[in-house]
Amino acid sequence: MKKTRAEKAGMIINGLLLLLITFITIYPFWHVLMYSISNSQAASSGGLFFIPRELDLLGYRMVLKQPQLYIAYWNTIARTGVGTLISVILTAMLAYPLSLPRLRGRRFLCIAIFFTMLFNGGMIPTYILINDLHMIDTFWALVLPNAMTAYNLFIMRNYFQSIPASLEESARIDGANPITILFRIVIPISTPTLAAVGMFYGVTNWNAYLDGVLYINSNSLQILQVYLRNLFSSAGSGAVLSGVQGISETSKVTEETLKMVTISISVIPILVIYPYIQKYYTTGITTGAVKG
Amino acid sequence: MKKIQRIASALLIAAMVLAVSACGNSPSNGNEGSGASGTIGTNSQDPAELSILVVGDNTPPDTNSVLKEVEAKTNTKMKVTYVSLADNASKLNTLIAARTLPDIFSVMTISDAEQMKQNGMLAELTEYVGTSSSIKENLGDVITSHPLNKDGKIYALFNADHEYAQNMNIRTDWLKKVGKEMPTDLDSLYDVLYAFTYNDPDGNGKDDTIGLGASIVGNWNNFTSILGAYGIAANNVGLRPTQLDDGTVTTGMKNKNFLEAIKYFRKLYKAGVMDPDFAAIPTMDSFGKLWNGKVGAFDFQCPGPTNNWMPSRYTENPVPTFDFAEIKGPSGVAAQGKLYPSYTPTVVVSSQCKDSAAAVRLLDFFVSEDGNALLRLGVEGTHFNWLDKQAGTYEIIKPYDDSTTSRNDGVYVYSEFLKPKITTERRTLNELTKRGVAMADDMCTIEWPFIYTSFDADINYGANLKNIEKEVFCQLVSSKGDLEKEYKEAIARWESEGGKEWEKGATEAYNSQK
Amino acid sequence: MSMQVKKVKPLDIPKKGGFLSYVKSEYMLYLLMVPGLLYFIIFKYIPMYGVSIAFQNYNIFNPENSTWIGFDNFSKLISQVGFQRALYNNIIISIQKLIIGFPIPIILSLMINEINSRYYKKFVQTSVILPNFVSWVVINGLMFALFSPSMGGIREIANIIGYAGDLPNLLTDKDSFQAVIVWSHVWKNAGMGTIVYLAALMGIDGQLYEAAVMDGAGRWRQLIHITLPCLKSTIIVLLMFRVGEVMYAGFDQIFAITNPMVNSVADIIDTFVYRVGLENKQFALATAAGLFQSVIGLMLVLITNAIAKKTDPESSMI
Repeated sequence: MKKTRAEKAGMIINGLLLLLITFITIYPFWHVLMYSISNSQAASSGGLFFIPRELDLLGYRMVLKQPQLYIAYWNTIARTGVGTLISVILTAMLAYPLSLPRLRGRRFLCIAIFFTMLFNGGMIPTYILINDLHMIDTFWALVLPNAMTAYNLFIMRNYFQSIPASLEESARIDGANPITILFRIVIPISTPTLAAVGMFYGVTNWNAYLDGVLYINSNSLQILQVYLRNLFSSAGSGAVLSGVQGISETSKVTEETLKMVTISISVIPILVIYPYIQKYYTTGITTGAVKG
Repeated sequence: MKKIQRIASALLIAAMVLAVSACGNSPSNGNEGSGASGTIGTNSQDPAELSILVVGDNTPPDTNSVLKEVEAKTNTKMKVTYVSLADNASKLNTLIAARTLPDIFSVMTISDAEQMKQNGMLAELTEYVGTSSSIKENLGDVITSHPLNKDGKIYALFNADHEYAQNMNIRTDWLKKVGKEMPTDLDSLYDVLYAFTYNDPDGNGKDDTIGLGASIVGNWNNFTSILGAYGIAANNVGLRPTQLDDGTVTTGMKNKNFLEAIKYFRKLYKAGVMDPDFAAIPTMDSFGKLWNGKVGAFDFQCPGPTNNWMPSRYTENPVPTFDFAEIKGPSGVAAQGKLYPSYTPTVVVSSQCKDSAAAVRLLDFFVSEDGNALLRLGVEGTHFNWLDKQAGTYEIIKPYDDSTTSRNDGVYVYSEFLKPKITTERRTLNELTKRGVAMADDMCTIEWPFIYTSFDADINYGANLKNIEKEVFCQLVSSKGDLEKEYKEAIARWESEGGKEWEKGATEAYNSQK
Repeated sequence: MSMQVKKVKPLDIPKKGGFLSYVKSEYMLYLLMVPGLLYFIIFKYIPMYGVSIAFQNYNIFNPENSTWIGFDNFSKLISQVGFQRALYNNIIISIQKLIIGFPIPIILSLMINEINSRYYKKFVQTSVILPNFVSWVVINGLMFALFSPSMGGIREIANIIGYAGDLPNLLTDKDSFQAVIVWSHVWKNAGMGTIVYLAALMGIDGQLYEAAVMDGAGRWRQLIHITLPCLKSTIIVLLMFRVGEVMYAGFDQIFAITNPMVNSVADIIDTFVYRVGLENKQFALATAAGLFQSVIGLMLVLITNAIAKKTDPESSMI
């Protein structure tokens, strides 16, 4: 495929523009990371951080020394793993029938589900429900109440709709039932959207904290975000502002450094896993399958 | 097909196994309130189980030394849930709505506490408090002045300790550099701030210092001393209400000296001697300016600048030295708003609690001198040793000199829950800070209408009106326009957004308290 | 199980026959949906009675004594000057966020799709989602570090180029603060939207492009005639969701980055309701505000859907 000169110039401009955008989007996280490994006192003068100021890992040492951190970390990993798996399976199972024009009641169901995005009962009725279901202070309170969102459901349904109907029809002629078609044909060629939706669910699960605050009382089920929130909320707002000693009474780590450390600790795992998920929605494996 | 089903179910089973193991050995007790599976009855030897909601702070393991010591001393078994300050309201709201309150918790407003009492959610503690020596010693007769305890029946406990008043902290090393004396009134304060800004007090040859550090984004602390000099009461939350000559209780903005105070702040702002970013600078950045030697005066409770942040937070070598200024206003006195009992946060016991006697026993221990020292400094001999208990000097035993390690063992974590009159923290401040605290306390003389009963207009508009006050303060201080006119407009806005009703309600509420 | 299915399965929809016989023939499809629908019924619809709080004088301390008071909560809310201002700001900010924020993920995904180098592509994709993980509180501190005229990054840059004059203070200027809100929102959230479009781009049949290239279509024509039409349904779905959220102008963001100087242009319904309603446990008022937002959102969605349907029946979402 030969390219015109204009196209080549376009490619270069495109690449450079994206480089600029990349810089703008990377910098804040870079800032957090560099701040977190800087000496607290040197960092507290503010400004921009391109490199760490007087490399100092004291903040990490402080946070990583707390035994509760590991309990909280494990709980978050567990809820993210289990939660995402359940969410993606449930969403696919519901999205597939809704993507078929022949399904009767489809329009009604779509509206009813979309409706839940706009209207909800609010925090207190939901809490009372969870309480009535005897799920308070159990692992399932972290997984089930937010297992699905209309947004992700519609994204997946949309993708399923774009799959050529002929593919499914030929399977039906061969006698395959819908469950087989979903798991054997539709899901294998939908990895880009499954990966994207799975990632949304995963990130939501990882970052969620309010359910951890409201539905969990035991320390053994505390999740990472709640743990980290308590950690720097105590050091930040309440204690220091009232003139009372913060967490750093005898150490040299400021609340701001602690905040940066906690953010880094909670984001780095996502950054490690992300590239593996990424490849599923960026490599066009679908074309071949659809053709076949 | 079969294979896929098998895979899917295998995955699900794996997920469940994972989940169950994630639950670990946690109790799946669906109801927090029933956490106190009572041990009341004939056998008083068994420790009473008490669930308690603690606001803010890190989460130490359930079996930390401090908790164990408290349990041993009070014959209780505590189940502590930790919630950050920001989430406390949401957490408590859901617990109230589902009627699954923990045995012991604190309530942030009087109106909430009153409604809980009216709806039978609180346990009456009168008989137990009567036999609790530390509570009696610390709260004494004040206890019945609490709105919940008015009729002689005790429902509420609260901190006997009052909040710290504010100090104008001045860097004495800078004073020496610029050849100035400790300021005593508004004019000499201005001179000092001017010299701090333009006479290169840090001697680095750069124009990079500011006289007065200030930020209003989080709190009002940084403005209270100057407002106080003008006879306007304020604390970290904002302006206190004021009573006009005709008896009307209204916003501090209507204080007759408010405009004068604004003019002074405007002078500071225009001359560039107070932080030009005061309206937008995050609190921590504002602290950072003090820690990094960019500001020379800082209006804040002195336990911060001269005790807790000293010396580890300061980057200069040698570390800065401070003393405190009493800023006299036009009337010739240095003053701050009077201190009244701290009725909130109110500590209460739920009516679902199976053993209120044990709950009060626990709280009584919290306010005892030994109890507070245990919560604050840890177990004597394990975490710390007194050098001179009378003078409040102590040494920390290694490895607990690292705050992370000590907090993991429960030190400090519970010490804010309910405090005695003279806390261990006050006892152990350094000499300079002790002097500063006493000095600030003595300045608290401005009368202002202390309203502790709730009224409708406050519930409806209060938070929004507070917000307007902050907005108006910033605008007036920084605007270049006609001050009188803008002030009038601001008052009109305050009144139209519920201020009128608030005034009426506040006046009624204040008068009914008498 | 599959035997039975085979027997009753003609390929086309059994148009005749009642609903029951239809369900019988397609029961497997309905079976598939059972867990998902149960989820929505239990966790979304059962608590929805909470909406009724908006029409009651509800009190969490004593919910049994709530009585119906009609639209009192709504009129109480709407009559407040602060609410009117918040509503106005809310609409202005939301519309700006929609107009600026909606197309950017589409453009970004198309730009990323044009990259040839696999590694560069990955790098860009990873970096655009990064801001999503930084909380608004931190972003607030960061914006101060950048835009403070006295000590921020722009001052450093000005010093480098030798400019010592006054710099605008974007964070405290009422004229510029809405732009700060909108662009910081775009910057934080565009990456996640980009992922959806990238995934959708992967679903486009490669044969279409091959055919177009044979016909001599350039990159631009491929974009106009293949890529965009294929993305259309995804665009519509995402647009519906954004339109439905118009009344929610971003509580977390504004709560974290506002300051007293700009509050008059930044206060939105949710921040107002937080102060007036939730801080004082006025759940009825807060619920009324929420219902107001939802109803307007629903109306906007229905209108958008109708327009989409009229212009192209295929592309309407519901």
